[in-house]
Amino acid sequence: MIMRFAQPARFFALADRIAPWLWGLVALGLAVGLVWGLVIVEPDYQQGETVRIMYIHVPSAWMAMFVYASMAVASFVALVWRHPLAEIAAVASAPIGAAFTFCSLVTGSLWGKPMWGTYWEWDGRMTSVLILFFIYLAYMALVHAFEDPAQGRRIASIFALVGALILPVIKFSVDWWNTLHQSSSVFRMDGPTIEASLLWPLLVMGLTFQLLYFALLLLRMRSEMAAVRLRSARLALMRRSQTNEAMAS
Amino acid sequence: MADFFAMGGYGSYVWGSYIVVALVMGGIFVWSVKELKSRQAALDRLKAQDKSLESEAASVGIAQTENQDGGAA
Repeated sequence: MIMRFAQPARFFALADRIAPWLWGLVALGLAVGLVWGLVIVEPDYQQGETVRIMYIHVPSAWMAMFVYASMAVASFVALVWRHPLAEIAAVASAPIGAAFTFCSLVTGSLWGKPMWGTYWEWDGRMTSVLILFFIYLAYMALVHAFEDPAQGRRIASIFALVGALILPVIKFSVDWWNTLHQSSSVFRMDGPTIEASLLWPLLVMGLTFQLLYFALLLLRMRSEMAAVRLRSARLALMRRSQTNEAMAS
Repeated sequence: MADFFAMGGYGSYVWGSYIVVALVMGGIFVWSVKELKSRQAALDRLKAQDKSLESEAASVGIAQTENQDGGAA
């Protein structure tokens, strides 16, 4: 038990030391990525200036899926090894993942209007990402839907694992339902089909969003840990006052 | 400079996208910091109220979740 406690304590001590560096790198990445994507990159010959939306749309969409995958792995670890940090990591990830998913939907919509002539279409990719957004919301609701928080987290973990089925559907949606959204142009078996001058700033922004996720995750894990401790302290106080009353009577 | 903001006539779409992402990601940061601070403050208040919680709350923290999990505590 002591060993187990030592792990979160050591984890958060390490996290506190890493966090400032992470935020520094996020700031640097944003500075480089934004100037590159918004100023240096030439307007696309077909899409004009709207191509700049790609530098936030695509990284948001990558993170929407990456965060969910991390959440599913953390939930699996929480279920199998009952590691308290894994549970906290999964719960802490969900709002961040939902935020990235929301960003990818909105920026996609704002890109779709000038280029496709519509804000929304029930296309395979868009619909499956919208479902992912609802899965995040449902997970967050489930975590807090039970009297006993441990039970809520466990049931939410199972839900997160089942929900992971949406990830391959999103990935292959552009091939299965070839309706509106273009197919993958970066992560391909035959290498990226996107111009290198456009790809580099995209990778910078992708890495920055990745670091942003880790920085926010550490912050939210701290907050979730504080919630667990707060609950335990309240329980301890309650138990103590009950014992005192029993002794007094 | 005006050209930069106009974005070839697509300014509202391009800047709209960037503003939404900035607001959402900035919002989640601010919310998380506030949430952490308020939970930390509540925990500190409880500890001030009852000095003996100092060590207990810290150690109970994880043990509690393990017990509830039915784990091998």
